[in-house]
Amino acid sequence: MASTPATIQRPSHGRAYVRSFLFSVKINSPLARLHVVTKLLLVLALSVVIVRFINTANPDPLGAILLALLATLALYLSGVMRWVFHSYLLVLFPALLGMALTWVIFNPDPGAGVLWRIPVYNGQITLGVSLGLGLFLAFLVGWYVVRRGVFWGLVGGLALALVVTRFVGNPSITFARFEFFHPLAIIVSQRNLVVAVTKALGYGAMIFVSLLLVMTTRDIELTGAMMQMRVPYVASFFVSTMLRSLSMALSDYSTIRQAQIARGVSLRKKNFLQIIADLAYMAVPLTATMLRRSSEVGDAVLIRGFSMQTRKPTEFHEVRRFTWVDGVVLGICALFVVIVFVFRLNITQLLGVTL
Amino acid sequence: MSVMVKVEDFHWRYPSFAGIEENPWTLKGINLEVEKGEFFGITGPSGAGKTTTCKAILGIIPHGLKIPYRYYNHHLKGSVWVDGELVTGVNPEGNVVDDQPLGELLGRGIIAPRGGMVLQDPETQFLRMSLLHEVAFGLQLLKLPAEEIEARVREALEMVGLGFLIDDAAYIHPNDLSGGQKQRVAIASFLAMRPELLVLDEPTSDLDPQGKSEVIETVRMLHERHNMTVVLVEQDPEILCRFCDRIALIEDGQVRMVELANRFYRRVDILDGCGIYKFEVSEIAARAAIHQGDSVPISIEESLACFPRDLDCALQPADYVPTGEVLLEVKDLEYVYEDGTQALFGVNFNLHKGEVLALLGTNGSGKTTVAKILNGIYAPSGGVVRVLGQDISRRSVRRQLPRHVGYVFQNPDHQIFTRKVRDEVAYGLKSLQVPAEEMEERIMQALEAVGLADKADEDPLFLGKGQRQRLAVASILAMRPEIIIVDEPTTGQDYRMVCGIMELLEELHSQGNTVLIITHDMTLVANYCQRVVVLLDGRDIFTGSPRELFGSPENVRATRLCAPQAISLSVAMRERNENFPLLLNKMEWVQALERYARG
Repeated sequence: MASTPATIQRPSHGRAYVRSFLFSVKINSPLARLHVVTKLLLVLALSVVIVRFINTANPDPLGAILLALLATLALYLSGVMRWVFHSYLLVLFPALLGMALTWVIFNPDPGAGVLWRIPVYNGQITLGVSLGLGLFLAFLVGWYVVRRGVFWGLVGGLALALVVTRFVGNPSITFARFEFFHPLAIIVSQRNLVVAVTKALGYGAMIFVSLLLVMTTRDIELTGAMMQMRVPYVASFFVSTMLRSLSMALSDYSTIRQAQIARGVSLRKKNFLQIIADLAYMAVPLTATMLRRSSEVGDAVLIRGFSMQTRKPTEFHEVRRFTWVDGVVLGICALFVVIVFVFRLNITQLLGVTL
Repeated sequence: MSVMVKVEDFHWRYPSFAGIEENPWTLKGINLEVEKGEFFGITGPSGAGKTTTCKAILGIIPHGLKIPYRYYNHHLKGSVWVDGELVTGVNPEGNVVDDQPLGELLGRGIIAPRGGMVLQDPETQFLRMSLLHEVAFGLQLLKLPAEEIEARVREALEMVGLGFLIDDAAYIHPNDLSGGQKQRVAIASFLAMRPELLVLDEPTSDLDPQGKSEVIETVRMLHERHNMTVVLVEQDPEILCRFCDRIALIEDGQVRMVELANRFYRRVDILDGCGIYKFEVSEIAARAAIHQGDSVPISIEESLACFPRDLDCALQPADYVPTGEVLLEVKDLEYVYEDGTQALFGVNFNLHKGEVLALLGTNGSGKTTVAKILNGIYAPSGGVVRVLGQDISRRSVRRQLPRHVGYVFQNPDHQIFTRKVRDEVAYGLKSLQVPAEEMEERIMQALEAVGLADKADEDPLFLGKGQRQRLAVASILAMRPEIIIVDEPTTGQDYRMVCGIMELLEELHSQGNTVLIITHDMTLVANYCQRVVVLLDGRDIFTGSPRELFGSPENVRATRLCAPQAISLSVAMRERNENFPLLLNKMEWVQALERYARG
């Protein structure tokens, strides 16, 4: 194993960050100092624990909150919070909120007490016309004719129908009526709220924990760890090159997005579908660029003398020894998993919080 | 001298994976010999087969590619030898399948580590995330002891002038370095492997003039010190003549000519019409029937001896004086990136209606940052920018900037969003909510302006690079912005393509468009631009006409640029005759010489 010279162990004064697979990480942060295998096991252990905490039968919201906070703290200490906030949090928050709402809507578990019940389907299908339906359709068609849009037509039509039928009633003519499925209602109960919040927090923590791995790891750590585990070099080089391309794809994405802005995509406000369509357009340049790049990377690899027969290249400042800190972290992880699974730890119940 | 590289009647056809049609032959019988220790240049138009030849020399072609059904006879003929060893050959009678010989591939294959190749874009050839490991990678594959790897990395970085980075090498991502430094890292990664042959495929096309010279100078120094054989693919005649022993012209998959460097560019009979850059003084001399001995001059020294020295200063055309309305006003512009890096420290200039302004500067001086601010992509961190009188510090104004300022990005591949040329031009128009009937008219007008009207229904991804660049211009043109910014329109393109793009911009200018060009091509600036703004380290250090810039050696030195040959000759003439006109470009020289000849 190569001795690590002082110059390579310590960066010069003023250099605080180093590029990782995704964005950059603080050189001397706690996670950057851990062995990549430790980080991987830490991520796996926390994920397993989170899966247990978000169990529907016995959810542990305080446990999920604790792990989400721990993951956030780790990201903060690694100096990557700014990028997380910049790139993920704005997407993550509505996604998790959507997940929680979906859970509430599609899991009508009354639990011990129902807070709110909204019947949405009475178990019968009625064929007929009503004032509300007529107003809704008239508004929608009118909106489309005048503004060539659908979304606000739907929203406006619905609002109009609700308001009018509230004040003048909803006279209707029924042509036919038949039974189908069973009555449905949106039930907001204490229990399904707790489960929904726990699941959203748990998945959030899981995403943060996974980000921890790619945001605090470099290619040399990964190839070094794979060398230690005697993984064939061809495989480890392939994996690290693939992960390394994440940062290149991000850089291409940023340039392509700017080119899109230059073509006026931000000139007018767009609805959600149009924004998605704009993003879909990026697939063409992104794919073309990545294909060209992969072909050139292939040539570059061959010119350096790499081939499918490459075996055991010299280790050069890549392998990192396991330290006592790695041991302690892994020990805590193992203990945590044992306590959660063997002793069925539920922090919420342990603290006597009743939900 | 013994032969290092020998290519004999080499033919190559790329496998076709996209359809049933076969690709045509890319190389059609290349014959080339490079001697050991020679600095050998290759030039030629785009698509001539220069890069393919280089890859064949190193064995990447065909050994790094998958040939369908191993039908070698269909893709390959001839042989490649390096230092007496067969790299690639084919036995046409071998590999018989169903009584049909498909050909048997011979040779040792890819010649790494004896040969290395530096590609045009260094970023695509970086394989590791630290400078230290990037340079060490080949050595690790060679299984050298770690101590030797470290010594060689240190030595290679010092050789290319990056020794000062060694202390932080483990923490520096090669992509974070400047353009010139990236190319040096690419060179260092091969130098560390101590190759006998180094191939450089247009390694300086993205660099500013000074960076370009520095990189090639580094290679020459290494070539002399280690007697390394160097093959340099390049478009710039000055670089080729200054550094190479011999130069080959590759055109349409064949070697048209191999000549000693100081004779190559005198063969105007062969070079004319093949679409490569030539010396400006040679072209002026050829047009004015001026000879130096039995050929045309190629250097300023030679031109001084044969060009008339008594031209009258009355032959100097008057410089353009901006009089039009100010469309763009940039005052004390500052910009700080998110990571805290300050890119601009106070830039000032105006852009007048109907003018062509060049924004120049070394790599990293802030040119593209300025362009992105003017297009509304970035918000200024300080100072005032007014576009058509509106202050762009307000977000609402910035959002609308693409209507008024069109920005053509450097790489056309980053700005092609659809699979049909017509749709590509329509893409921006849809954002502008142009009515359907007007949209069709605008699309065809823009495509006709760039000469792509007949390609309206083709897939842009299958167009050539020059055509894709033109399509990018058309897409902006159709949006009819008051100002068009073109970022490095000529990088990596041959002379013919550059002329095509510049004629297009000149046409736009003649139609009253206002154009701002970002470029490292000083000849282009002298030929087409009326005014120049030069940035250095995020500050404007010169504003004036190209004549004022290039006509003053002090200005050229201070801006770290290089003057084109035509005006450099005028400056040299003026040192001998102070009344000599300061002729800026080829056109002015030819007109002045014609008037001089008429008496």
